[in-house]
Amino acid sequence: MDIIASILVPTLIDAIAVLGLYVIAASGRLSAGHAAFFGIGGYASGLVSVHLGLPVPVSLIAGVAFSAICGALFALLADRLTHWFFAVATLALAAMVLGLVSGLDALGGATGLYHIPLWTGMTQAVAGLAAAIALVVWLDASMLGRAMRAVRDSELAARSLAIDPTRVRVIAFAIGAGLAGLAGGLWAHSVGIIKPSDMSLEHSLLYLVYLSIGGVDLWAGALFGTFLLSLLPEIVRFSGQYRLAAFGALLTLVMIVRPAGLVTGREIDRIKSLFRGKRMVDPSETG
Amino acid sequence: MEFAVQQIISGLALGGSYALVALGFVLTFGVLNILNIAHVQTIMIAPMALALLTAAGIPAIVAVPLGLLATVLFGALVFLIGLKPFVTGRGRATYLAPFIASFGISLLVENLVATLLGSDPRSFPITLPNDLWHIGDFEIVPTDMIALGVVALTLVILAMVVNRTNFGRAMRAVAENPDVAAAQGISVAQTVLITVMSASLLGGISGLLFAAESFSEAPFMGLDYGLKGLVVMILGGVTSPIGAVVTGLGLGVVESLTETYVSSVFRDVITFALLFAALILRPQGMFAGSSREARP
Repeated sequence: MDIIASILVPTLIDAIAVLGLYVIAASGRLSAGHAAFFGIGGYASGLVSVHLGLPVPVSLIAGVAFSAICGALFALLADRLTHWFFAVATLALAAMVLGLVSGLDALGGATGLYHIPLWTGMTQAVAGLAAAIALVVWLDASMLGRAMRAVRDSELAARSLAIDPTRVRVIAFAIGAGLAGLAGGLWAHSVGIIKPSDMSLEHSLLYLVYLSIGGVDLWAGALFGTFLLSLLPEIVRFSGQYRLAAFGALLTLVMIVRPAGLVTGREIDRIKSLFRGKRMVDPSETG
Repeated sequence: MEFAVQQIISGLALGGSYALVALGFVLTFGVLNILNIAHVQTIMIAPMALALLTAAGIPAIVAVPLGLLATVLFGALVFLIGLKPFVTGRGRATYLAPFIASFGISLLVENLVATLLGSDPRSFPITLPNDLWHIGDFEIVPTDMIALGVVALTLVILAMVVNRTNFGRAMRAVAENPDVAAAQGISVAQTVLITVMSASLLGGISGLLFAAESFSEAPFMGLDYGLKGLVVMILGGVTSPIGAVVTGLGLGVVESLTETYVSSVFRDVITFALLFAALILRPQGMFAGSSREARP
């Protein structure tokens, strides 16, 4: 049981962060430094509970809020950059935050922040993920979610519908950063320590791998990618660098064969149509 | 004062290498319109290949060209297997797919090399002259002068190739508009391939210089240096070779002076903060060129 929990809890927590990345991608942005917000949330939550002695739920909320504010500020400042240049800016941000955190003695330097109260178990991780899914499902159906996708598909068309692209993208990035912050807080309270390597570039890339392979079209893609790629290597006992090399190869292959990822709307529609017993008309074929 | 000048010279040597990385990005982005993250791994391939070759007893004078050749072949392979499908095939629809795919290639390559050769840093396999040169009151590190010489020579050759040769003209034509270039009888596929190989050569040279300057090399060195090369490329105006060179040299000097006079722990933080500020104040880059819509 303990072994299962030790594998599942980090996976559930990662899934929350990847959902955050999904929200950012839904607004047409790509964050290649998403783990920075995981770290910001983790450190903020850890600092609040260690130094102020506040209960864990309060520190978690503080971590989420701080991470979301940082995300909003960043997105606002970098909004003039378009697609991959924005992604490179997130990469630079992650490198900057990582360097700052490893160098500051107040945050424990390279060894990290210790003695964070333990709180997160299986129940809390599941609850956190459920809350994140609920938020994302609500968002997808909401006015804001539709505005995000409109901005992603055509900024010009969105503008003509009186949608402010900057505002929508900043909100999306703040929500995404907030979810990553929640994941970071849960993680800090599950192992009692948060350290710079928790927010390394490798982690950021892993989140990108999970989302891109799973699929950027649906929130289910984010979950599918995270669970598939976190649990499968555990089952087949694939380790360390082989795993990352295999992920790299898989990522390239998926991008070439299925640029939108493994889970897309079409698959869900097909499954639904199986249950309904009628044949779906593929919108892309009717043109 | 002498000390500051010496630091500026080391900064220029480091910055010259950043400029070469950035130029590689400028060249590939120009002809492909794809930001190829896997290009950062060309920095790592040459020094790692050099380590293998010298360990096998091959003298440095032969091993260096062979290492660069390995980098060029690597770049061509990455392009043909990983990126070409996006230029011609189904992936064309989304602009993010090739970018993410190039991340995948980068991840694959660095971890494969780390698995095969071990991930620990190793020392640069060639012994370079270590005694400081005394010129007047100045003490010059010979590696810095060698690096500056190599960078200057590379830049001159590159400028000649781009401006004076048929291949250079073909490359600029393809960067401007591939369809029109094809209509003029230019083989676009061939031009793109040779451009990518030239960019890899630049990456390989810069990789050897980085390794020689820091006396160390590791499978994971690519992204560290490459990320700065990328930011230099963006700040330099994305499509501007002169912008890349000036920004690269500037960044090297800033880093060197920060390390000496401000803080070595926070060097990268300060560097990225400065770059960030510049990116926000002038998102079109310091030296934005006039061609194409491809800029931040």
